[in-house]
Amino acid sequence: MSNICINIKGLYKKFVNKEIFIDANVAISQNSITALSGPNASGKTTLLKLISGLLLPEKGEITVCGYSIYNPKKVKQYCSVAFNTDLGFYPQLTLNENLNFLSRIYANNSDIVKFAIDKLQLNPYLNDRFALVSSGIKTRLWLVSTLIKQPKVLLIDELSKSVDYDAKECIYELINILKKEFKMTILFVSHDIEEIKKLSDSWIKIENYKLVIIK
Amino acid sequence: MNLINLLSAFVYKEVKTFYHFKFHNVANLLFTFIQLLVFFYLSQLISADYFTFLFCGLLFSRIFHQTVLSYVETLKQEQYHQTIYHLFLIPEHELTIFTIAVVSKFLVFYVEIIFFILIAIILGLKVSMLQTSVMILWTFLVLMCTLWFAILMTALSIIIKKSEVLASFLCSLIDILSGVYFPVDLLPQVLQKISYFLPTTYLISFLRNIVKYNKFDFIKLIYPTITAILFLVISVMCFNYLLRKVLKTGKLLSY
Repeated sequence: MSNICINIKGLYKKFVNKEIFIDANVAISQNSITALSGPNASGKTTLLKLISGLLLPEKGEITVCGYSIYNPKKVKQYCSVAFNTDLGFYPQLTLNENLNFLSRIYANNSDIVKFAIDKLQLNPYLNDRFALVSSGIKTRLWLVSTLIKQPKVLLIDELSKSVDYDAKECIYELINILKKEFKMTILFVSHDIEEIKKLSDSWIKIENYKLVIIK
Repeated sequence: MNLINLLSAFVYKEVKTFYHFKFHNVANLLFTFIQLLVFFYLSQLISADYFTFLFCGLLFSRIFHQTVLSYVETLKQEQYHQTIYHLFLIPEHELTIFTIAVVSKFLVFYVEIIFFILIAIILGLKVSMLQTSVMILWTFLVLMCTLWFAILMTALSIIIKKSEVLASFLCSLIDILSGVYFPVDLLPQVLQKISYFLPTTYLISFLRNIVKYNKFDFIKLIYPTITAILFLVISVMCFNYLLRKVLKTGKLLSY
């Protein structure tokens, strides 16, 4: 049985006249932590959207856990994405209410979410409205919210954006636990070389519209 | 994950939002009261019967606008707050997700509808329990019969920015042509022809027959029902086609 979790073959993607990927190929192993880096506007977030089925390519094939992204129901069942944005939640609701909303969708009150809330020290902010919390807290909330689905594949855009040093260490610990104990496959975007070296099993870089394996 | 969980989540969100915006909601009910009061006194200038006529039209208009605009505005709001990322990662069809989000909004909206009917009764609208019950059932029928138009407008809003303005304009135009405020016979001949082509004209006429004459003219519902089924298929196809198109451009995820 193949241990490839995310497989990208002959990917071609463009926006209007701007090409993002030309014949890009890569295979990411199951239960691994992979870093993705590249210059600004090189297509890192686009790649996460393509893998999760939120975007469709012009050409090429992407499979997640053996399912094509043209079978979005299956891909979305296995895939979760933490986006790099200060939005993404209902601003009028508290963090807890936002998490409850997502928990109800997936009918999931699993320990993994409670564990992540503790680990990322989100407890003191749970009753604050989303609109009023800082960017660092929002980054942590995004990470916790992705776990509600109990995904097999976790995609993270800018892993430690806006978070302080202590919280960063907590995020790294959590990522390692998700890989070791929950057998997740994790692909994270980062510009921080130290972070990439410290955390990842493999490293992919976007160069000249292609996906290049560095490590 | 199933649809009941999805509905439960959206109802939870709506209830919490309702609570957070409680003053806004109370103000909304007060506005409904004032609006009906204005129409009540205006109708007294014409005839006592005119208020009943106008009430039926206004009730239709509220449900029609809510159905159409709920879909379009839900899409726009989710895009604006970028909560659409979470919604589109739910392993269900996008239209199913939006429909459930809109249905949950209707649970809160029905509080307003009941309030609207009660105020009209206080102002002198004479309806029996049977007529009131049929009126409530009729509101669901309006929702079902105008659903296709809501989906079509949402499909358009996928590709046209600020299309909520267009949806609002078309709804108001249909209101006038369907006889919400005055009988369609008063319209010029050309517009009358358009009016009789619109299924909404028959939906309003059905309610007026019940409320004014206690006459249950179910024949009037055949045309709106047939068009609803036919256009629902077409509008869902349009939605799916345009959705697939914007999934390539990535524009769906941004406001």
